[in-house]
Amino acid sequence: MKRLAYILLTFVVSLPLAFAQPGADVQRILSQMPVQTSAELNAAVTQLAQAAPGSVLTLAAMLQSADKGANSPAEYALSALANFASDKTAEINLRNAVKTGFRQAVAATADPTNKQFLQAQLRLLSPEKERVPIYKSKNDKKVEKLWKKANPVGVVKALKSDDPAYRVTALRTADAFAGPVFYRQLEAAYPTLSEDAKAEIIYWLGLHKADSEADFILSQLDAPGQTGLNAVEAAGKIGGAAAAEQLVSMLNGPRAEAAYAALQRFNGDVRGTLKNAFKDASGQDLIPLMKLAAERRIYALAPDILKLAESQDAAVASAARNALAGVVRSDQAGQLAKMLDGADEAAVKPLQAAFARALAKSGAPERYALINTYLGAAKNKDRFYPALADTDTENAVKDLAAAYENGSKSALDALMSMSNAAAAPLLLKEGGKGNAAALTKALDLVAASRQPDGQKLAQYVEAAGLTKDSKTLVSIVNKFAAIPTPESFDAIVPYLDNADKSIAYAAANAAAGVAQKCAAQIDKARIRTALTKASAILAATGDADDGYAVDAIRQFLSTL
Amino acid sequence: MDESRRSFLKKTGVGIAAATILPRKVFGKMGGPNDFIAPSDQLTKGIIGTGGIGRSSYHFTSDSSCRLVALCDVDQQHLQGAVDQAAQRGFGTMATYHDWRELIHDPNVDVVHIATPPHWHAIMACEAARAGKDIWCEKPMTRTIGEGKRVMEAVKRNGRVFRLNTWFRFKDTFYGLGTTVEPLKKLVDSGLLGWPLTVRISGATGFAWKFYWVGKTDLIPEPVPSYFDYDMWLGPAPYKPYNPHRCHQTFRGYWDYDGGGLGDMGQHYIDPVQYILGKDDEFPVKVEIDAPQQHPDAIGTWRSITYTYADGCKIILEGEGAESPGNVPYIEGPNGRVYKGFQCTIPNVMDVINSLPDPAPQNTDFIDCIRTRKNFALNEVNGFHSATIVNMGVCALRLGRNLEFNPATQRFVNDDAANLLIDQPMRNHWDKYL
Repeated sequence: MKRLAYILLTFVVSLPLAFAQPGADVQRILSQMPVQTSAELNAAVTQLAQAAPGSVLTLAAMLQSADKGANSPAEYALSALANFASDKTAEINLRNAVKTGFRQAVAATADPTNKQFLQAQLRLLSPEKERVPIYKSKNDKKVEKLWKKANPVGVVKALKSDDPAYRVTALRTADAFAGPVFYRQLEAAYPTLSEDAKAEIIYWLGLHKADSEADFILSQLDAPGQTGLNAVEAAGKIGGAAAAEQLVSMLNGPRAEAAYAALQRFNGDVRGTLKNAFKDASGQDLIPLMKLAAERRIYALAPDILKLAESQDAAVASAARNALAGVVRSDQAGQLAKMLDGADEAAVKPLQAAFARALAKSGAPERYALINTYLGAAKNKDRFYPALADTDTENAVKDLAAAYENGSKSALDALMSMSNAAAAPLLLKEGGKGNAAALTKALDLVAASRQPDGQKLAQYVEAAGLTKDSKTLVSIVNKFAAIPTPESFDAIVPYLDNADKSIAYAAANAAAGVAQKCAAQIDKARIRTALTKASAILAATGDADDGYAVDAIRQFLSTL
Repeated sequence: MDESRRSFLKKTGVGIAAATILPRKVFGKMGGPNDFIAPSDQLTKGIIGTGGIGRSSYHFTSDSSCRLVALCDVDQQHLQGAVDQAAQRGFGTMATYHDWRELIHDPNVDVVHIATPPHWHAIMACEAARAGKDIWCEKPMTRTIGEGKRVMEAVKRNGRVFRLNTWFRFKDTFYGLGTTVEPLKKLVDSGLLGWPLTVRISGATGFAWKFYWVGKTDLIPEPVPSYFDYDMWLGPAPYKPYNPHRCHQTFRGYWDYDGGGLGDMGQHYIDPVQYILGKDDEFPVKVEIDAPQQHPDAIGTWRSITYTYADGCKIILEGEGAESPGNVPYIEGPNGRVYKGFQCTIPNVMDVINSLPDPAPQNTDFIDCIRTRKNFALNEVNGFHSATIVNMGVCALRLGRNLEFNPATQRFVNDDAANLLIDQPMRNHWDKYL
């Protein structure tokens, strides 16, 4: 017992000594990093590598949890070591020692972020054939052998294993010789393999888009469990007419969801197949077909889907209405208008979307005229207001304003979506009643209009008096910034002292921008005072871009 | 395309005549006549990623040629901001999505604009291609070389039209050069400068590398805001504790999502060079770097990156503190040099250029390309090539060493670690969308 204690004590005492020399060197080398030249880096890293694996472990032990914010020196050094060891021109013994160090460090590190960092470095040190496997396998030694000498026979043999990690890793090594010859070897071995192995092979074939195995994969679409699901996904990745037909035929079966996903992402054109299937389908079997028709823009199916939008089957009708936006064209606008006017509330939104889509190709005045034709006969006129607003014409503004004055909230919502400046006066008035969104919208319309700057500025100042909302005030200050006049500068300056940091920040940028554009017309002392404040506000953020802005202000002030 | 129009084309022989002039991809295995969109049909688009660039004038437009109808973002504030912006501009009601897959599969959407950080570009582009959508993708096209290949394959296989959001090869003054690219192209094509050529992309020649896109080390974890789905924002990227500097305006500073200033500006600056040199179907064979030690997570600065082609042409990127002094040429050949502002050692160069034939015409109307199924000027193929140049530089910087590249295999030579950066692991099995 005493002897054991003595041995243990000797071991423990000698541990720091074992790392003492590298430890001292490590600290000295770390203090130099990041170094500036490749020669300096090479010298530093070679020293670290010469002390590996101990130096790697020492550095890894220095990594702390991220909230300490103290990892960068060790990270610089570890990354440099990994780069060094990944360079084939470096001495092989040093490279192996560093690699050993990283392996041990990964195993010894518990913090997940640091572990991930170390694993990323270790990955660089593994030749392509020796990459860290995805899963931890109980057959690690056999896996290493496979990586070193990947071969088709070895892979097929590995697929007979009951260890899933080993099988999957074996297939990963087969990436190197994926091709029709190997695919046939897999197909030949397939019947003798477990269900799990079959599923993995099918998935792998799909990953490789193995065209030559299309028939084989399609033969597995009905296979049980994951094998069948993987075959569905693989069929979508491989593509082809036969795959399209098979997948379409599965849209209402037990694997409908998988088949739909495969068709959504189908590697090729499925339109013809979908159209043919539409002819033969009925009832709720049509629902996935309609969804796909919309996604794939099969315009030819619009008349059929329009009929289905009025189906007695509520689910079919709903699906049809949702699909309409994807398939309608201009000649269906009239039909859609009637449907929209007469629809239940639940159907309004999708029909509005479809109606808008049907009109989409026409120019704005043409759309306005068409919509008015339908509006005239409509009972539920407000359902057409979004489409009217979409035309963005002055006539549309007038019509919606009139509707709003008559009490229509929908008309106000529609006006809010327009970009025609003619809507600004009404929206400003609405803003004066406390509607912040209307106020902001009005200001944006003014900004985009062709009014003279002075007129715009006056409206901005008026609007600023109507609100205390900081987001709106920031928006107004930003609009001042677009008017490079002394009057605008005067309007901005008071906001530099605003207690709200976001407003003061906007004012800082605005003041700097405007001052630089009309400095000759503003008292220099006023500019200096204002921009000194602006600099302080920008410098306080600590942001790189703001730093550049402060430099620009200093430069400008030096020229005044 | 409706049945009556297609059968009309067949009966009158117009379809046959059209076959001789339409690009082969219209009649390829995918993207055949079923994809034809009649001129009378208005196109629609959706934007994935409505933060900064997603709400800019590159993407956030809606007009009679293509109407904006759908928006997607995993940050509720960004999404609401975009909805408000759309309303302010009178774009009408938007369909809004949290999950980008739903936008891509929205039947109302013809064109998908991908305006997310680069670590998502490939997954979304591949899925959009499979879903039969045409694509407008932000740059860099992809975060890795392998992802770029997948996008190219998916777009081709599904017969889609793809455009990358950079344009200098066909319009606008090319930064500090003070000229559009066309006269440069004509000059290079004429052979007057000789061969091989060296192109220097530097502050000295009018290009800034935006080194403010550096990351921060030792980010302290912070609680994720309730309006932000960080897990979905990360998507395929490794999980690292949330800190606002990783996301939104400053994601460019992290290798997991982008490539710093090189990632941000690389394709803008390098794609026109690739075009000028006539190397849209080539890759450099070597990349050499001069840079400080890089952090494994936060991107730092670099001094220079030099790409060399097999024929000796070079593209030299000069970065932080390494700009060549004095008046250095932008393009230099054995027989002549071109400087910033299109100063040139060839006498009477503008007269010479005016006498030269114009470069081959480019298809620069994206909407027209969608309608006629032609390749856009900056498409998935030449975009993949210039993105690969950027990503070769990223690999070299991350590993801290020079690399050689085999254009035939599109792999690095004798460098397994570099090849591991070509196809990187993806979290949560997002790679199944590639």
